[in-house]
Formats: sequence, C-alpha cells, structure tokens
Amino acid sequence: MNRIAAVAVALAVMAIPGLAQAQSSASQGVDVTANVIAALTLTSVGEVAFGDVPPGSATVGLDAGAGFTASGEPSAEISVNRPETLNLVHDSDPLATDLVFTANFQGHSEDNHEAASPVADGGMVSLNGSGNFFFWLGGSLVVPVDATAGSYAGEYTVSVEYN
Amino acid sequence: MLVASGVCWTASSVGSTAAFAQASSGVSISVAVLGDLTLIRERHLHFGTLIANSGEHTVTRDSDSAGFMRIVGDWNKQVLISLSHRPTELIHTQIPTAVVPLNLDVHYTPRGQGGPGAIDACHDYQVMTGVSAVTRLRCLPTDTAIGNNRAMSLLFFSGTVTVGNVPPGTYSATITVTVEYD
Repeated sequence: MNRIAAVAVALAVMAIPGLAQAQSSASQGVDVTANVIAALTLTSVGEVAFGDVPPGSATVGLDAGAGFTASGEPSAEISVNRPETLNLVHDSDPLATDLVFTANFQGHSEDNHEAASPVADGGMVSLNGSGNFFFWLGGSLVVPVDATAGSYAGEYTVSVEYN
Repeated sequence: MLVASGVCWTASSVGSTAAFAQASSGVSISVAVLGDLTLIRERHLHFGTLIANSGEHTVTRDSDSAGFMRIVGDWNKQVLISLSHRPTELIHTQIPTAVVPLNLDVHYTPRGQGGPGAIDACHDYQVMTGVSAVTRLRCLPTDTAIGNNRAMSLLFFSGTVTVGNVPPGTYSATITVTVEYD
C-alpha cells in the first residue's frame, strides 16, 4: 500500500510542472481507501443419507438432508456453483454402475427450509442483513433393478463467490 | 497516467481479498442398495380328497400339505408381508354358491434371537392374525444356498375346513402374498 501511494504522488508532480516552479514548496494530498468486506465462508452440516433402498426410486427431503450456510458481508450478492447431479460410487465393486443422485438444492435468506426456493447452478443470491444465506440439500435417485447391492457414496460440493 | 495508476491500485485491492472472496464446502451423499427381495412359493395348501358330510379336516403347519413360501432378501432387513385377504371359505370351481368353510392359519418366522444362524429364526413361528405382519430376514437355511449376506423368513398356510353336505367337485381360494422391504 505504501508503494502505491508513493507512485501516485510522483505521477501527480510530473503532471503539473508549472505549479511546481511557481512555488518553493507545494503539497497535495491523495486519498487512499480500501473497502474491506467480510470474508466469505460456507459451512455445511449433516448429510444426505438414503439408508437402505431397494430397486426403485428414493427421495430425501430438504428437512432430512444437509444444510449449508454462507456467511459474509451483509446484503452482498454471491454466486452459487453446484452440480445438478452427482455419481455415487460403489464402495467395493469397481465394476458396479454408478448411481446418479439428482440434487434438490434450495435456499432462503432466513433459516426456514419451508420458505426456500430452488437455487440453480450459477445462480445468484443476496446475503441477508446479518450476512447469511441458507441452503438445503435433498435429492433423489433411481436404483435400477439390476443394480449391484451394497453401499454407494459421493461428496457433493457447493461453492460460493462474491460477485 | 493517473487513470492507469488507479486501475493498478484497484487490481491490487482485489488481489488482496481474493483468498476470502469465495468458499466451498461438501457433504456426503450415501445410499445402501438392497439385494433382490424374492418370494418363492414352495407348496400350495392342499386338504386332499375329502368326503361330503365328513366334518372337520385339519392340515397343520408342519404337515407336508401345508402351504409354504420362502421370503429371501438381505440379512436382517425388515420386511412387510401382506395378504390380499383371508378367505373364510373355499368355493366350488363350477358352482359358485357351493362353499366349504375354512379357518385359515398363517404363520411366519419372526426375527428370532441371537446371531446369524440362530435356530429359532427359522423355527420359532408366529401367528399372523390379520392381513399383514412385519418381520426380519434372519433365517439361514441349511438345505439351500441363498448367497452371502442373504437370509430368509418362512411363511406357512394351514387350517381347517368343515365339509358339510356339499356337491362333489374342487373347492378353492387364492391368496396373493406381497412382500416388500419395510
């Protein structure tokens, strides 16, 4: 920061040489400001656990899934990046076909999942007056009748960024 | 030049906060896929040949004439057994008004006690009084291979018919059984 201030003053002197000659000394101030905003964090809690599922379809609701909280500058706009789907991989059989998890990802400025609305990948939301925004993750998957029995898992990652 | 300097300063400002301008977090998604749930009918319930006006005839659960089904699925998983109905009479196949009263008994093996292979998981029968019951698959058969981490529950149909003065012929009823993981 000090280096930048010095350069700015030097450039100002070179730009107005006539003023420098007419006076034995001169001074000018330059304002240097920085708008520091709160760091953006994203914390998660819980998991989306379907439990034991026979072939067919299964769903985990927002109230039983995972939650995320974005925290940062009050009222700041942030963009959200997240996958629409996630492949769940069998834990022991590399030949087993992955199961496809389809996310139900919704958010709201208040901590109330019943009021939440879908947040698309690349979507933008605004942090509330306290600097928070809340997300909920549920979803569904279809287990084919020929799916290999056993445990499948994957990690669903969400990213947020100031605009 | 001043404008250029200003742009440079702005760029420096953005760079200093870039490490905190974005964040990411992940959660675990998991599912355990259950193996097939199979219902195998081994035997129908047969009262055999009976004589008109001969009164009550009983087939017990351990009789070779008792109806018998195997429910095979993943070890220790809970299943719901549902009957379409509990018939109270057998109906003449050609004379719908001719019937033989039936007192149907349905038994199933409950979850049993102890670990895998506990004998009572295959032989400690429980009466199904209505049209549904919940049990766990904990019986490991010794007479047939069903695969690793697989087990079964057994379902028996027995009962008593009362043969009155009815026309000769075949009398029957059909019960549809449905099982599903609970």
